[in-house]
Amino acid sequence: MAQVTKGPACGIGATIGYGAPAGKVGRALEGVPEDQLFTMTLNGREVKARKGETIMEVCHREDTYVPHYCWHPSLSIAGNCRLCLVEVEKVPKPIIACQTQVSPGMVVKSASEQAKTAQEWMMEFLLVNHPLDCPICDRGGECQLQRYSMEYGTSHSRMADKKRKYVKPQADPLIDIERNRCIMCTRCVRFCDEVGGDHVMGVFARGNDNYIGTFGQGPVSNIFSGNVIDLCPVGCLTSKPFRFKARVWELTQTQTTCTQCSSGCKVTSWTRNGRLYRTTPPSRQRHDHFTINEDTEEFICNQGRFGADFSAHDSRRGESLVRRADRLEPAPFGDAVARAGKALREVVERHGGESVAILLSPRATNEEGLLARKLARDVVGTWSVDWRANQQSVEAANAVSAALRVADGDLESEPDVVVIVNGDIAHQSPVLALRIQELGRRHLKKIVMLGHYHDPYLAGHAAMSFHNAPGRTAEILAQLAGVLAGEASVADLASSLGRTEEDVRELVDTIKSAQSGLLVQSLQDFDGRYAPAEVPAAGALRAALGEGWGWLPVTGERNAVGLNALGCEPGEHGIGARGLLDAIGDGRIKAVVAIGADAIDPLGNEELLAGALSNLDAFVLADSFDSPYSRLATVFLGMAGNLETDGTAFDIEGNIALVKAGVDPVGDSRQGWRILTELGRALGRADFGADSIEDVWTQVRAELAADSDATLAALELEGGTNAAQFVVQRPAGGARNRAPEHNPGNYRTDGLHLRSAAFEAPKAGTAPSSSDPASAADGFLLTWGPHVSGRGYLQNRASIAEMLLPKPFLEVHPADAAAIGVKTNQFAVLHVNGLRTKVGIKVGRGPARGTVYMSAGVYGPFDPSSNAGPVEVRIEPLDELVPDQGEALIAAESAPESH
Amino acid sequence: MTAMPEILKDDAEEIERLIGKYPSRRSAMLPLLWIVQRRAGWVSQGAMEEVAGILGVTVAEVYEVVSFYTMFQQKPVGRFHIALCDTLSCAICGTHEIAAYLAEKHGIEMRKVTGDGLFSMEPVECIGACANAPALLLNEDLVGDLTPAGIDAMIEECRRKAGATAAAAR
Repeated sequence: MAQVTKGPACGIGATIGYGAPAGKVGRALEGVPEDQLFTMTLNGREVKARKGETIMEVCHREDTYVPHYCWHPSLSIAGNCRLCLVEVEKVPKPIIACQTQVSPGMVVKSASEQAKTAQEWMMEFLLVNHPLDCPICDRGGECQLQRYSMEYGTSHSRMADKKRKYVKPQADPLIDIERNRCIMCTRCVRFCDEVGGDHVMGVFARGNDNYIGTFGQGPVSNIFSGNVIDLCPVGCLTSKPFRFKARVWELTQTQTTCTQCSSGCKVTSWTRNGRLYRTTPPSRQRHDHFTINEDTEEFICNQGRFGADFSAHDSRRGESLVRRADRLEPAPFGDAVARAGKALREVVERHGGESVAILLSPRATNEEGLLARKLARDVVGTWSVDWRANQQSVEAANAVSAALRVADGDLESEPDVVVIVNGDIAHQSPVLALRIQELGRRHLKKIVMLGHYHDPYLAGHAAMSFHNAPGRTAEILAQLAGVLAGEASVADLASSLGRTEEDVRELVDTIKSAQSGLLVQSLQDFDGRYAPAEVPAAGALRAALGEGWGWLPVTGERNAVGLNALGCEPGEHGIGARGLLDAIGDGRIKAVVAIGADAIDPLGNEELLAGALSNLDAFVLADSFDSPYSRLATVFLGMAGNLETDGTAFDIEGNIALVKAGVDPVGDSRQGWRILTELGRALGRADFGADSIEDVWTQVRAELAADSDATLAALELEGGTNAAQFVVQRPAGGARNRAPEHNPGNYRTDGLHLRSAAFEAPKAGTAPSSSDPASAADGFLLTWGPHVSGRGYLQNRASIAEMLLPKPFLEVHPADAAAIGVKTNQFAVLHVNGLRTKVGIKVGRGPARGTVYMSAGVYGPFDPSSNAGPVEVRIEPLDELVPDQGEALIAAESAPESH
Repeated sequence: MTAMPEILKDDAEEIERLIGKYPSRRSAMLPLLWIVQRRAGWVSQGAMEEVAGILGVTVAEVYEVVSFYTMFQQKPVGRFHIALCDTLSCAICGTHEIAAYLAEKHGIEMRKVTGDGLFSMEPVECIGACANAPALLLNEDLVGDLTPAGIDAMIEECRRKAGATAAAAR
């Protein structure tokens, strides 16, 4: 019997291309075996092509533009807009470039008379039902349909009948759907299905009547849903927050980097008159202007897209304040900084430099980090400088630092196997998860999931998954390392995992047979409660994996890698963020300088913090907002917001990128690096800091890449790509005054990249805490992790923060759900800590059996992160369904348990 | 909205058999929707959610299928649903007269359900019974060569069946 090979779907039945995975578009042909290559002719030019490529892919590589709507490099082939019709010799009729595979000697003409006529006619068909409402359409000026009408269409229509009209749905709070304008390219449908991870959008009805939408007018409920706005080639899907606010050609574009999580996505900020209008993936140059790139493969998450405008919040404060006789009074920046210097000098003179602590927001740029460290070590004379307030304990913070210091893995190398340990990666560093997903989906690499919680977004692409109880992960990793080293038996590991030996052998074989691999580890479950045990265990596993493997510890904190590399940590001698409140309590710390209030906000509730801060002799706060902390400050220095700051930052994989101000600082506020410079000078060091951001960058570069001469301009993005390569070598050693033992590791950095060259496993942390209950006797263990859009000091200040807040759900394993009789969208009562809380249930494969999962900071009345670790809960199903997909899924009620 | 829709609760065995016939679960969507329609007469949102849950797909995916095929009813219909062929052969042979007769004599109007919930009617495209034009489908049964007398007999038979069920229920 002949072997059946699965070709690309074709014909009418293939309007939605579920079958064919998108290829490696535009990939260079270097390294492709010669027998896979052949020559063909494209527009009279002889070109090389690879077996299995489509005409569109060859055109993409050869910079030959073929008009298209439904084709997208990241999505499967649909072949339904028919606009990419090209002429192929010996084929009687024009055929579509996106779906036709090339063959040796093929002669393709993409701009011949036949192709042009076909494209022109297709444009006329696509415009048959499209309204001529460009003047009121939000897409005007960046519309692919408008552009193609001019480039490939005709100026008239022969459509004599009435155009089709739909009632406008109100489906999503963020995405506006205007179906009359839809040309049924199905990009949004395929995006949600393939990249977003959920088939929430669909093509409904049939033929002339069909339309796109969501079931029951529900929301497009995934964290990447905003990308369908850019993907839409017409004005059907537009951004609700941006709708009717401005015409795109009136806006100024700034190529910068998102400042919200460690994915560090390249983005374009669209601003006017000091205000951010929207954030999109990098725009690209087309003719003489930059415009949105509807073929971008650089998707961004909704938090980055819609949640970056917190600088414009009502609580924004541009001026500086100085405390005079128990009252805060506005003061010019120069006076305020002089006063801060005086206050700090007094504390240093009376109690010594060690009584001062300098805390940084994890969002601080490298430049701010470097100056803060220098201010602490060189000027004030203290070890106590830290960025790690988000970790639960000193041990957790040290474990995170240890992991970041030796991390040596990234996704660029396209590893054959990705082993993911714990954690909701998609909600810590969304685009990192998206790229891991792409490895599995498009490049057919194997994804293996270990740990107590498996990211549901990635679990669908996992080749294998092995759950374990919370707190047991370190043990499992150690056993796996033992098996790989031939020191432990497969049988023991199988019994620890509760799986068959066959399953575990498959896992071991997969790992052993991989040429290259990546160990991805979440550091943020339970704010790092188990990190002290899990980091050394993962390090030992990384060492056992050997050559070809890398280790990528993940935290969602924006510039964790950079601040760690620059030594903005207290080491063994200083007091870190987590020890701060105790140290204030026993009088070791008398003054605190906080760069960004989110440097201290996670340390405790407002009451606790207010109590501690009021015991200080001096509290200098540089921040952008009026807050409970600003009201306690001795001196408040108005600091520029996220869109007003220049600098550089690293993403979690160790790539450096430019953060560029899109607007001027509000009022009298200053950028962080300038505040730190002025503070240093006010403390009596006239030579401290620098007079321009370029000068600070030079200092950063000297530490991280002594041999480099890359300027900030060289890091600037042009049209979405890095204009210059920046080669970073190892950091210079002696620059860190008063930090002789601070050893940033043996960094090797190739092209904008910071990663450890020689891997050395971190030492076991102190106080490993795996003595927690591994299973609950009666009921379930509630586990939790952070969420990128969860409540937080800055997230709360986004103009549409409430809309970005994810729908809170309690995730239950399918087997457990069946056992207690709950279904997705059913309400249940969660008995936890003597409280009864009504929650919506989602059945999913994220949590291990016997555990349930909830994102932290999402649900007001009850936040799981108020617990130090997993906590025992009971679930009591209610005979009530969550009312509507569009509504809040947990009723806002939380009552004490009644007996 | 409190009741959990459980239209398919008695069909577990049949559903597993159907799913087993295909390489992937979602392929069994059409047969499952047919079972739903036979049980309930129409495919409600709740039923779509139920089918989605069984097949492990999203409701949107089920709704794509339901809305594509006009044979799936998205609103409640009568116990006896008449799909009257409105395409060329039947139209020439008297579809419109038949429709008028059904409305006048029996009170069954196009796209409406009768007050007693027994009958409903909709026009459909060709049902492949041109040789017996004009023709209709009564639920899933073909009734061809329609005449006023034939219609009366058909309606009478339906009423008799409904009466028998009602009596049995009593």
